Amino acid sequence: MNQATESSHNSGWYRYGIIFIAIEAGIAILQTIFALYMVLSGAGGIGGGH
Amino acid sequence: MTQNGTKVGQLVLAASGFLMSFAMWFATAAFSVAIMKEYGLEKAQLAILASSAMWLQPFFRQLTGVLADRFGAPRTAAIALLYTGLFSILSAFSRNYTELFITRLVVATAGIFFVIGIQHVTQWFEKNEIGLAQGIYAGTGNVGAGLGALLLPRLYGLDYRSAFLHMGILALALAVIYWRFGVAGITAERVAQTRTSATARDTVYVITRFAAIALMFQYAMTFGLEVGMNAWLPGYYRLAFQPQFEALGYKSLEALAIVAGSLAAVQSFNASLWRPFSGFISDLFLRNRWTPWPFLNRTDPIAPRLHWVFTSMLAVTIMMLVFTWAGLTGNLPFSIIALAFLGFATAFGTGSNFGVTPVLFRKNPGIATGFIGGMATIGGVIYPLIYGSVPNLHTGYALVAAVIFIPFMLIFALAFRPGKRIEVDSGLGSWQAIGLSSPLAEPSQGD
Repeated sequence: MNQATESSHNSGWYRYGIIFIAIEAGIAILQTIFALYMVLSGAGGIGGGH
Repeated sequence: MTQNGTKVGQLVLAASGFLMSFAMWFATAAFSVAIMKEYGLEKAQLAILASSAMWLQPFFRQLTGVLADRFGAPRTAAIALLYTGLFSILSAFSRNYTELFITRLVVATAGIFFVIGIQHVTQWFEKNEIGLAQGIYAGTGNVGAGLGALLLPRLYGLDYRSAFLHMGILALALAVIYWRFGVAGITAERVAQTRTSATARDTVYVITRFAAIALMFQYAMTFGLEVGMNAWLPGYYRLAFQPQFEALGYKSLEALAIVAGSLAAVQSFNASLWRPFSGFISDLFLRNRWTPWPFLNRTDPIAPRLHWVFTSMLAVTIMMLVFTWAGLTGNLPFSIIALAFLGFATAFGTGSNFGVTPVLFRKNPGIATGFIGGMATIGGVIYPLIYGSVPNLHTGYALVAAVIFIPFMLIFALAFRPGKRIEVDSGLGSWQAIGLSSPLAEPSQGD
């Protein structure tokens, strides 16, 4: 099992996998910031603008 | 192609199929305003149309799990994409509301793909990396609902027929790709072992294990919560915060729908896109042997992953209380931040579960996933009914946390209580009584 661990971590997919999930998490944060922007500014949708 | 290359290729294939399926599953909801307008639907009819997306999930997911174990993920996936794609195309040409409702009911069974993909990924990844692999698969797939809600109305406006037609064609293309390039497992031995373990007796045995039942309840309070929130939150924000929206200038029905939908998407995006991160943390718990909860098993090789699962349950329960508090204050930004963290906690819960389930039930991953993933969707039907039944719209979340989630946590603690090993075979009736040739636990289980 230890050998398998080393093998899978050295193979590179795991490292790229972590980069990928970091990007996904970034998208979630951006969407949340956009929602906050909408309710703080009244902009970002149809109507609003106050 | 190297084995690792193939492994990643199969993960991409599974995640793509799930993304497509999840988008089809919730595409009807994305066009609810257009459908309501075209057929003159009342609110009650719209609610039935929305909830119908969940109706067939419990039974069909269970059945699909058995089929995936029996015939392999690629064949099962291709057939699922084929028939849902065909019915999506048929729904584009529906002549009346009855035809639309029936065809979309069939399309909504696309949600069964979750079980197929989990089974597929389980057949390819090892125990020490499966948390991240399942997280990437499921998180990427789940965001199909949020993407659909955000993009489909912008791309197609009110023309839902074109959207259903194009999505159906895409699903058919993906079915062909899955059939051509999908490989059932990393070794023929693993595939063969799973195939011979997919009998009716195996199904009865797996779904009566206390570990499977506890994990099903945990998934009901996380994934069930997520899909229920997808359907509930736009209406909640419109009803509960309308004065605040109007003060901001969102006054027309369309403007209110857009702002409420955008806020509701905070939950969907966070609950989906943080899910892989939870799988990664599950792997970290395992590697560092973190076991913070004294009332849970600490000695089983897989125990650290279970401690992360329980941590997520606690986080979800706390955030449900905070979300109620935020709503009661009437402060919209506070509500959104609380919702983001609730989504965050939900993602921890869904991601942590599938770092455990396929490992504990490696002999029958499809059956276990079908049961846990299928029955948990019932939560998606029940919770919105509770939210809507209380006089104060904000208090429903705290009520669900108190009367449903806390008992689920107690059941989980009982099922995974301290002991030398996790008693995965503990349940209603023994494996000998049910007529199986061997138990679930093997000497190497959980290593």
